[in-house]
Amino acid sequence: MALGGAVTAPSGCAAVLRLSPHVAVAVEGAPWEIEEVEACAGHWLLFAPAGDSGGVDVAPAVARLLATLAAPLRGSVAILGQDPQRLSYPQVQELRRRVGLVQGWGGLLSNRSLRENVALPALVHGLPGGAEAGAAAAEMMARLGLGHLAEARPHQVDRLSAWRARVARALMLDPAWLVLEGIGDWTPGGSAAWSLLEHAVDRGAALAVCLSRPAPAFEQWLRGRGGRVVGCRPAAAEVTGGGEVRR
Amino acid sequence: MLSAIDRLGARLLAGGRYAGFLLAFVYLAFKMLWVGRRQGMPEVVRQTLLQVYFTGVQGIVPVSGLAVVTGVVAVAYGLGVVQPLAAGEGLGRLLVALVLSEVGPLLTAGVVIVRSVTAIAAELGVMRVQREIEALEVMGISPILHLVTPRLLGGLAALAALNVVFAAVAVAAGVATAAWLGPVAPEAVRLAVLSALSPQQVGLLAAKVAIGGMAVLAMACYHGMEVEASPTEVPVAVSRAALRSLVVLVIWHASVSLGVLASGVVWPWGAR
Repeated sequence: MALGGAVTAPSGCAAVLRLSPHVAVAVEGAPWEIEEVEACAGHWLLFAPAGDSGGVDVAPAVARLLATLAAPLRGSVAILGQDPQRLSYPQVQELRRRVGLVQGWGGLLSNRSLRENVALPALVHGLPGGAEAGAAAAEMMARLGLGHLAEARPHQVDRLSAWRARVARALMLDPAWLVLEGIGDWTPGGSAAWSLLEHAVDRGAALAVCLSRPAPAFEQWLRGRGGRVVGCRPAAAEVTGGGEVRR
Repeated sequence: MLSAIDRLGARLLAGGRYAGFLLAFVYLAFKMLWVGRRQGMPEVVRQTLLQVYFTGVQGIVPVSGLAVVTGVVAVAYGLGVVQPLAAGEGLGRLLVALVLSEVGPLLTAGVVIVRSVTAIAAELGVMRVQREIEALEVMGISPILHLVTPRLLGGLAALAALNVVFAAVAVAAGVATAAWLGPVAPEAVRLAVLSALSPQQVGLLAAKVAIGGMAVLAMACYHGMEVEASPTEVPVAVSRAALRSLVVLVIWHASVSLGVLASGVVWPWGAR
C-alpha cells in the first residue's frame, strides 16, 4: 500500500478508509473480524455486529481501530491513504488532526468547561486563517444548542449534552474522517448535531458510525443516504499478535 | 538456597527494568518538548504553572510547619544534650548538616509525595478510565507533552522552592530557639549557618533534591498512565506510586549521604 499519498479506490475516488480482507480487532480479549470495505469522501458507513453480539460492547474497539488508536490483530487498515502502524509518532499525530472521534461516553476533560473542551484542538493546532479558538468554539456550541452550557463542567451536564459537546469538538478542525461511537441524539426527525454531521459529509468528509447492537431505524436512514452497513462478527480462527494503543 | 537466589535475581531484574522504564519515561517527557514544540506550548506552560501552584504554593504551609518543628527541635537538642555543639558555630553546623542537608529535603519530598504524587497518580488514572487521555490522543495532542511534562517540570520547580522555604524557616526557627533557650547570640548562629554552607554542599544538595524529586514525580505520572480501563486500578496505582516513591526516596537520600560521608567530599562537621 502506498504511504503518504491518497489511495485510489476502484470507483476512482480517493479512499478515506480501506480495510483489507479479514481485519480482526480485539474486543474484550476476543478477536472480532470486520468485513472488507473501502470508503471515499462523502460516504456513510455503519459498523455493527452481524447478528447477535452476545452482549459484547463491540463499538468502542471498532471505533478505536478506525480512529488510529488501536492496531488490528490481523489485516491492515489504511486511513486517508496511510497505514497508521507504519507511521512515526509525529506522522500519526499529523494524521489524527484530520480524524474526528466522537466517543460514546467520557472523553471530555473534567478539569475544563465544555467551551474549553471544544476549543482545545483549535487551541493546540490552530485554525485556518488564524481564527480565534474560543470564539470558534462558542459559535460551534451555539449551533448545537449548547451556548447556555458553555461554562459548565462535563459532570454538570446530561449524557446527550456531553455527546453534543464531543461532536462539536470533533468537528472543530474540519476532519476528513469522522468516527462515531453510537448514534447519540439521533432521531428520524433529525437533530442539530446530526444536521452538522450531515453537513460535514456533504462538504466531503466520510463518516462511520460504530454500534454494539443493531439499530434498524438508523440503518434504514443511513441506507437512504447511500450508506453501507459493514458487518462485524467473532473471528472463527485464533488470531494472535497485533498491537495496542499508540501513545 | 538456589530458589532464594533465583527470587533475588528476579527482583533485581524487575527493579532494573522498572528503573529503565522510568528513565525512558522521563526522556520521552523532555524529548516531547522539542518534538511537540509547535503543539500548543502556551497550554503546556499554563499546565506547568498550575502544577507549581498545586505543589509549591499550596505546600508552603505544611512544609513551613514541619520546618519550624525541625528547627526548634534540632537547636533545643543541640543546646541541651550535645554539649560540645552548644555554641553558635556548633549549632550552625548542626542546622546545616542535619536539618538543611538531611531532614529538610526528606521531609519536603515527603510532603510532595503525600500531597502531589498521590494526586497526580489519581488524576492521570481517572483520566485514563474516563477516556480523557484517549480523547487527547485522537485529537493529535500528545498526552506526554500536555500531561506528563508539565507535572514533571512544575513539580520539580515547586519542590526546589519548597526546599528553600524549608531551609529559611528552619534556620529562622532555630535561631529564635537559640536566642530564647541559651546564651547564644542569634547572629552567631546565622553566620555559622552561612559559613557552614559551602558551594560544594549546596551543589550536592541541589543534585540530591533534583534527582530524587524527578524520580518521585516520574513514578507518579508513570503509575497514573499505567491505569487501563477499570476504576479499581486507580487506588492500586496511587498506592503503588506513593509507596515506591517513598522507598526510592529514602534509599536515594541515604545512599547519597553515606556515599558523601564515606568519600569525605563534604564533611558536615568541618575539617576532619
